[in-house]
Amino acid sequence: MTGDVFTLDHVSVTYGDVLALSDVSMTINRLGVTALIGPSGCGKSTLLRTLNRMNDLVAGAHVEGMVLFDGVDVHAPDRDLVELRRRVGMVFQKPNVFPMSVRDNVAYGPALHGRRDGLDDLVERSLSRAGLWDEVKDDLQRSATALSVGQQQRLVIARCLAVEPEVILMDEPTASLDPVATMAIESLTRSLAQDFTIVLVTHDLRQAERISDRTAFFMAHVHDEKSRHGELVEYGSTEAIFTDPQHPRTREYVHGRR
Amino acid sequence: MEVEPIRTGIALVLLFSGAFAVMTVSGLRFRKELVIASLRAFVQLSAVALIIAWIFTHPQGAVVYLAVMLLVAAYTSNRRIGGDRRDGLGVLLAIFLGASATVSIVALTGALEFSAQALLPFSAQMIGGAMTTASLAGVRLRDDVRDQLTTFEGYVALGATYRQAGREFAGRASERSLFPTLDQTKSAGLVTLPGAFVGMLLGGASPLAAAQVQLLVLIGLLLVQAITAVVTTRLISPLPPSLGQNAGQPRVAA
Repeated sequence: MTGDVFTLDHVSVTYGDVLALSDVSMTINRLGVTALIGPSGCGKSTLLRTLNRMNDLVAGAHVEGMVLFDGVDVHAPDRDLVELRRRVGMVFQKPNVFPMSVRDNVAYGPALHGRRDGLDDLVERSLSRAGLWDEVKDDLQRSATALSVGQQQRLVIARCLAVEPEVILMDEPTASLDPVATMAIESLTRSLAQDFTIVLVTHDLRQAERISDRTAFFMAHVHDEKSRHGELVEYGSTEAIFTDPQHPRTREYVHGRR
Repeated sequence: MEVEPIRTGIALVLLFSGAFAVMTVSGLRFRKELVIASLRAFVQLSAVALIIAWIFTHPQGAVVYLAVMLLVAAYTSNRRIGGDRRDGLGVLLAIFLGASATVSIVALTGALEFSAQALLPFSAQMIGGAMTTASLAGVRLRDDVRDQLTTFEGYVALGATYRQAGREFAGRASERSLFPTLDQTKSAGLVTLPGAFVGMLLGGASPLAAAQVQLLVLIGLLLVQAITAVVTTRLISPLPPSLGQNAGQPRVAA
């Protein structure tokens, strides 16, 4: 199945009186990796968190414009957030494993959604898919917090896979990892991109270039010292963005950083 | 034990003047607080004495007295937690369930006689204990969620409602809120002589009777507080008011 998973139409996000992201229109294709890049404060994480409505947890967050997931408005008043978040999973910058066993971390989501049978199989499949099974299979009851940081991040990915999502949002998933663990996550992301739509926020240009199919470049528009907001500068295939950027600001950012 | 108002008055004036003098001579601040606190204690205890004396002759008044006490306890605790109206109802229910379970057991077993003289002070002490625990557990729950917001977000991102995610933090918050009473119970008689015990002795009861009543109070408080902590942390919203309250809760019931 191809086509658009997300359609954003003139999306702006404000926190209280502060405009964080202004007037973004773009579509996100099914499958593959779509990278959101740009300097910090350019609104890329804010955009990511509108896709599964995690911005609801931020006081005063407000979204203008339309975000469609599979053709249905994410912000519709009767939107079922439990279902939305089951279909649109999320991996965070800091591996936020739950303070429980490795097995229970993975089983939490399916159990939450009422699954009772075949949990052990599902746990094994999810851990295998995340490339962690061989390292933890001998002691699934060990506390998740005892794993290395790189293992924890793969556990978070396994936990996300266990609810069988269609989309995985990744918010700088390697920011707290060493180079070896980063490589493991990157190759895992590539392999997951065959079956899942992945939206990846990263400040690492090389990472976007290595593992994404499409890249959106965001930048902060600075009004004065106190106010700035993020906006989408350019969006296209990763190859085009990195070899033949059209916008001068993209060119400056992409080439200046290499 | 007989008390004479004149002698009590003389002693109180001397005790108060002593405290005031020590603070003045040593240059300590908060003398104004000392005056206000002492006056409040005087007025409040006098009023309570009159009300309770009236209730002892009109036992049906006890129900009203305890209901008012419950409401004040829930209001005070909910304000400490920073909860909204719905949180307040949860706190009220938590305090009510804890106190009524404990008082029922003590009354039905006949451990305390079924009279306003015995049950009113006992119930009041249970409600007071429940209030402290509801505040501690509620504040703790919200502090923990705020401090570990990324973990909280992890639950929510998997489809948990705020309340379902909060439940993962409820156990720890409940445990912590029981520490003061557990410590007080462990050290009873060793570090301090607890209030009911002292009161009974001053009132002329035998030390054995005093110990029995004190045990009912201490173990009763453990039951009150266990129930109140567990119910409070499951009924109030886990998110502090600064987070998420105005941005739409997940729409599926917890």
